[in-house]
Amino acid sequence: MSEVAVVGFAQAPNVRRTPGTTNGVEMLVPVFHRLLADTGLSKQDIGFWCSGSSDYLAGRAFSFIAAVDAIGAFPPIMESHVEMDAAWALYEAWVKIRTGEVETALVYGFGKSSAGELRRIMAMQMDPYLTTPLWPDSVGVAGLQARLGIDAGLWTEADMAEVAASSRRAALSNPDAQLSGETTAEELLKQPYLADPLRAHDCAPITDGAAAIILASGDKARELSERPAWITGFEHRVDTPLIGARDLTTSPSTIAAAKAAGVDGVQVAELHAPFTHQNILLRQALGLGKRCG
Amino acid sequence: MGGQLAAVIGTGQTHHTAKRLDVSMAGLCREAIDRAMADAGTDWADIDAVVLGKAPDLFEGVMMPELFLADALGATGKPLLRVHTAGSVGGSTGNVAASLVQSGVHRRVLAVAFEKQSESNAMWALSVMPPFHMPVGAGAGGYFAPHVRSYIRRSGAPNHIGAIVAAKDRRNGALNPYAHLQQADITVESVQASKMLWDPIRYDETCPSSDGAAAVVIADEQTAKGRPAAWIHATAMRTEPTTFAGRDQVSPQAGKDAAAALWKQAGISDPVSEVDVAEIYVPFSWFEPMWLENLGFTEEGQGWKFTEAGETAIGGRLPVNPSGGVLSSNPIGASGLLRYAEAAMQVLGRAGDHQVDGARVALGHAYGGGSQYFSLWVVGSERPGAR
Amino acid sequence: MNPSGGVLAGHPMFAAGLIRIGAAAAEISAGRADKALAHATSGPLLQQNLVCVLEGR
Repeated sequence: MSEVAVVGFAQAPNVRRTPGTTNGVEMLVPVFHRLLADTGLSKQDIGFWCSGSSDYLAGRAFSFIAAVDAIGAFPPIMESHVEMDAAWALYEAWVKIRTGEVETALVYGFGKSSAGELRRIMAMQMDPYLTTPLWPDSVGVAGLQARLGIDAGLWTEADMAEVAASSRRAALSNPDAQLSGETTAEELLKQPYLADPLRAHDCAPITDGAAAIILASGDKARELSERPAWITGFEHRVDTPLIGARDLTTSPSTIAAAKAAGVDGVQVAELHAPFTHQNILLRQALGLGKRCG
Repeated sequence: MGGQLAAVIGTGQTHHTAKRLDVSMAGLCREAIDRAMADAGTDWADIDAVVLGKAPDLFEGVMMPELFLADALGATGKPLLRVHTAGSVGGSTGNVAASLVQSGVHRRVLAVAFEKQSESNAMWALSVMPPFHMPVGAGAGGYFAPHVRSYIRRSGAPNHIGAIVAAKDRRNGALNPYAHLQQADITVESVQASKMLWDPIRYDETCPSSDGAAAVVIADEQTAKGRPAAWIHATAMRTEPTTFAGRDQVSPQAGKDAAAALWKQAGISDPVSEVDVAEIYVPFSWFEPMWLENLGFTEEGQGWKFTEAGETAIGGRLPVNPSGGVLSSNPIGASGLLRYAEAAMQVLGRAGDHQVDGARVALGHAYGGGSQYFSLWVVGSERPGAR
Repeated sequence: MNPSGGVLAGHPMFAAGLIRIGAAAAEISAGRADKALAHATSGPLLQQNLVCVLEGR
């Protein structure tokens, strides 16, 4: 069983709108260039490539095929794609390395949300027979979840605003961030509602961006990085799609994945919470304490 | 092949037809899954993870349908992966599911692939015009016809080869109760008399548009030993760009590289004599001789002679698509996994009326996009290395 | 918690989860942490979730 580590990471600047195509190529080329330069690898050294993207976000079929043009895939490459966030592409690549078939993998994801109406597009992830025809707005649906947590006493609008303020403060040291700045929960709470109880600061912004990671096994990882980030737990789960059939104030799939991955003693966490209340919900589910963004 | 051994212990598929209006997407998938689970003798508690594959979401008009299908797929509370590698996706789904077992991450994985073309309009989905790209306004047939003409010019193949393949695959399909098209009486002459669509591809030489699903259960050695199993001897995937100067679209390098890697991994030095049956992705009849060459079953330019001599019929040296293949059923996203499942059924001896006698080693093949995506596997009735 | 600012500071769909893993790995590689957790989500209202634990040695 190979041990596998992250040995390189690069991302495109997170911006409100890029002029490029929805295929991600214009964002990915500089990312690949930087990542390969950082690790001293060439594209021929990569054993396996895997990407994550969405045709609906790109507004076309086969957007990931056009994205392959960012690689320059000749001679041909060993490659795969998930119609999911590229975190799951990383999972597929991690599995591939663990079969022993390859030593290295480059994983990338891209999305150009500015090309369409994200709040409408996301409605197409719901049940197509019963729910999508109602065109439930994705921010409105999140607002229902936020309200459930408030009513249950799990968080308040002030807690949510504090998450947003902390996020913007932390992002001051992130050169790729789209939103950053010094603000306070008090200031943010003066803003009007976008979808009661959500205000604009409670919702992740519309962003165009791309990112890539290089994985390597064992000695190869030690050769490529002075301090590889070894993957010691990697788990994912899915919950029922019936939002009326699960408790929306917690996240059984997160709890199960975290338990299996072994999260005791983590000193730092990066959570994918597109709404402020989801940050609090995830922290509670993961037992990671209540304070800070 | 790296890692642990893995084997197919059960397969299932739907009755494929143009419009399965009697079931939802969930019902369609479940029909194939239930058959695969029964075939494998497994229950939901035995399944560690689910991998779903299908072609573009625009074909049904649902963004990431695996999300709303999670309950129907039996994935709730478990890991669920969604693969999409164009037309090769059914094959890739099998390969990814196999790697989950080969890596030691899981012991039993359910792989499912489907397409329900009647939910939307695939022609429309492919006709979106992205900037800076050549539009595929003539559909897949219009895209591939020039490749076929180029093959005929290069190889000097006579015009009736395509009709031989079409008549053979459709007659094979009539032996397969799940096949969409049931045309037991089709002949080379009747194929040649059918309407010309994209010269030289005639109507009877094109795949149908189908609703359908396929499922396989892949298990680790401990589960598979001592029961009927199609052992996975090798898997391969290769990709090349869609367009670049000098690209050989008749026999793409990605296909050649994938085949070379596959044969090496499977320990096969002479594919045509060591493989007993092949399920090859042939959506237009002429692709049979083209892929026979690309896969290394024959020398370049010789594939059509092999077909013409009847060697790819059931009873020939290398029966190709005894199930009827893509020419008899084409639920796009599932078509690759059907090739994989049919290969497994052959070595399990469970192919019914289209069983190839004594099949012990079988190839499953899928390709996609503009012939730039390839997924392959070799399965055998015995463990790898036991031959 | 979220030293990068998290997705409230930038949310490129289909890359944002991967970026969480990259950002957590960067904390390890820079020696600022010995054990880090990265999380990714997909689907409506946190339907699908992934947890990746990274460690320095």
